[in-house]
Amino acid sequence: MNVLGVGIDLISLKRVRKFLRHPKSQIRRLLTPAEQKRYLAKNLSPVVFAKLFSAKEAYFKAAGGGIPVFERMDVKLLPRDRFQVKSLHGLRSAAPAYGCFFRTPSLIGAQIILWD
Amino acid sequence: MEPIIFEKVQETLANALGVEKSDIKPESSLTRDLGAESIDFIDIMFRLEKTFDIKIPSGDLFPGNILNDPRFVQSGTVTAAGLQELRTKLPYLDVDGFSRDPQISRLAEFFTVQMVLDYLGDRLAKNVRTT
Repeated sequence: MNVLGVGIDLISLKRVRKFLRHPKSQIRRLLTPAEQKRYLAKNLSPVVFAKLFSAKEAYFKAAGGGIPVFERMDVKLLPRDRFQVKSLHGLRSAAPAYGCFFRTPSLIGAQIILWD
Repeated sequence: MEPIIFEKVQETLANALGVEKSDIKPESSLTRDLGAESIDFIDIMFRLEKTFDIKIPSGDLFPGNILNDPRFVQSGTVTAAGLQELRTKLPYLDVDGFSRDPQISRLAEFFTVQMVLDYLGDRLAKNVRTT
């Protein structure tokens, strides 16, 4: 197996709390329909949103970088601070990829390695 | 560009990025000069929609969806076809400046306040024509 890419992202929970003041109808646009079902039915907490966002960023960086299109990456939060990402269109790795989160009281981080 | 639009954009960016209005000039790069990150681009887009009462489709202002196509980006570099696509889809982006070293990781540095102003100028003019 070869490593295709490595991605790491960090996001501030303070920044996320400020961002989540936008109406739900706008936040919805960053999520896939499956994510909306999984995470938007309840109140979307800053920690959950930070995890979804940082997982997508980390995946996008591992897949080649540029400008992320958040609604084309589907993230599923898994037990023990792990996550699964599926690219819905056009990114380098078509198979689901797995990563993990790390955190401090004020930051959420995600890291992922893509393999061929 | 009407001064009132520049003032509104300055205010929007100052609120989104936590910078002084006086630091926001047309030539300022959103990332290099004003410190914007990914979440800020979306925040800016949402705030502009509210301020100007418009809807900005994904990729219309910041071109993520164009560049997920392997025809347009190879090994981290935007291809000639990708540069052409940027010119067509984003006429207000300084593609000539970017094309001197078209690394995809550098693209966001070319997102300037002027680019936002030009985009809004086009959009608002279209809105006026259709109303």
